[in-house]
Amino acid sequence: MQASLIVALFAGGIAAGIVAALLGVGGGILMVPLMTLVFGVPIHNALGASLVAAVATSDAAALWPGKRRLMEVGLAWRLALATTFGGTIGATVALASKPEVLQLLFALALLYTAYQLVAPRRGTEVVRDVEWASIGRLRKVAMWLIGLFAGASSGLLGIGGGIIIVPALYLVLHKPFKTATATSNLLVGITALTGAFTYWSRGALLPVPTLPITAGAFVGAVIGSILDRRISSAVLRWGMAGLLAYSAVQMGSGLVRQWFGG
Amino acid sequence: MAVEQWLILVVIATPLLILARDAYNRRHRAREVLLALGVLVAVLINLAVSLRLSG
Repeated sequence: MQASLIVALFAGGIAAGIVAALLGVGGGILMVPLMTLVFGVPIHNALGASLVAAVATSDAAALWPGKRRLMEVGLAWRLALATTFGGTIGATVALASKPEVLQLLFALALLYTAYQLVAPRRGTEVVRDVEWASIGRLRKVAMWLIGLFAGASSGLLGIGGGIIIVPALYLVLHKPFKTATATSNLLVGITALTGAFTYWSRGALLPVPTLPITAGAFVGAVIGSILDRRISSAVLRWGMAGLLAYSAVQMGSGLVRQWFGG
Repeated sequence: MAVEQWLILVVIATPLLILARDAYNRRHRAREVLLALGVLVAVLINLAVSLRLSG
C-alpha cells in the first residue's frame, strides 16, 4: 500500500510540476486537492507538502537554462520584497479574522482576470519587454501593491502568489507571457520558503507525502520547462485563464459548502 | 532528528542558495546586490515572525 501510494504521489507531483512550470505557479491548487481528496492526506500535511513541492518546481525552473533565460531576476527580487512582507501581514490578519468576504471578492477578481487574459485586446497589442527603470511611477506603485496583495492573499487564503503575479506582470507591466511565468517561477520559491519552513518547524511535514510529491514536482517542472519552448504563449494564456477560473470555482464552492452545508 | 526531516529542510532552503548564486552573478551591480540582501533580510524577518506566531 505504502509503495503504491508513493508511486501515485510521485506521478501526481509530475503532473502538477508540469503545469506549475508552464504557468508560473506553485501548483498547490492542484496538489492539495489531489492529496486530500484522492489520497486522504490530512489538510495540514497536504498544505505543507505542497509548499515544499512549490519550492522544488521553482528550483527546477531556476536551474533549467531555457527557462532561466526568460527570468527577470531583479524584478522577481523586487516583487519578493513585497510578497514576503505581504505574507506576514496576511498570516497575522488570518489569525484575527474570518476572510469569507475577501474570499468571495477574490474569487470574482480571479474570474475577471481570467477574462482579461483571453479577451481580444483593443488598440495596439504590442506586448513588449521593458526595463524596471523605464517603467512609469504609477505602474511601479501598482506592482508593489499587487506584490503585497499577492503575499497577503497567500497568507490569508492559503493560495500561492503565482496566480496573481503572472496576470499582473502580463497585464500591468506588459511583460511577454513567458517572461511573466518564468519570473513568477523564481518568485514562487522565495514566497513558498517561509510557509514551508513554518510547517517544518511545527513538525507537520511528514516524509510521505512530502518527499514523493516534491520529487515528482521537480521532475515535472523540468519536463514543463522543456515543453515551455514548444507551446505558444496564447495556449499558455488560455491555460492560465482556465486555472484562474478553476481556482475561483473551487473557492466559491468552498464558501457555498461553508454557508449552506452547516 | 530523522534524515528525512533534514532532507526536507535542505529542499526548503534551496531558494536561498539560488538567491546567493544570482547575487554573486550580479556582484558588480551594487544596487542589485543590495536588493538581494533586502530579500534575504525580508525572508529572515518573515521566518522569525512565523516562528513567533506559531508559538
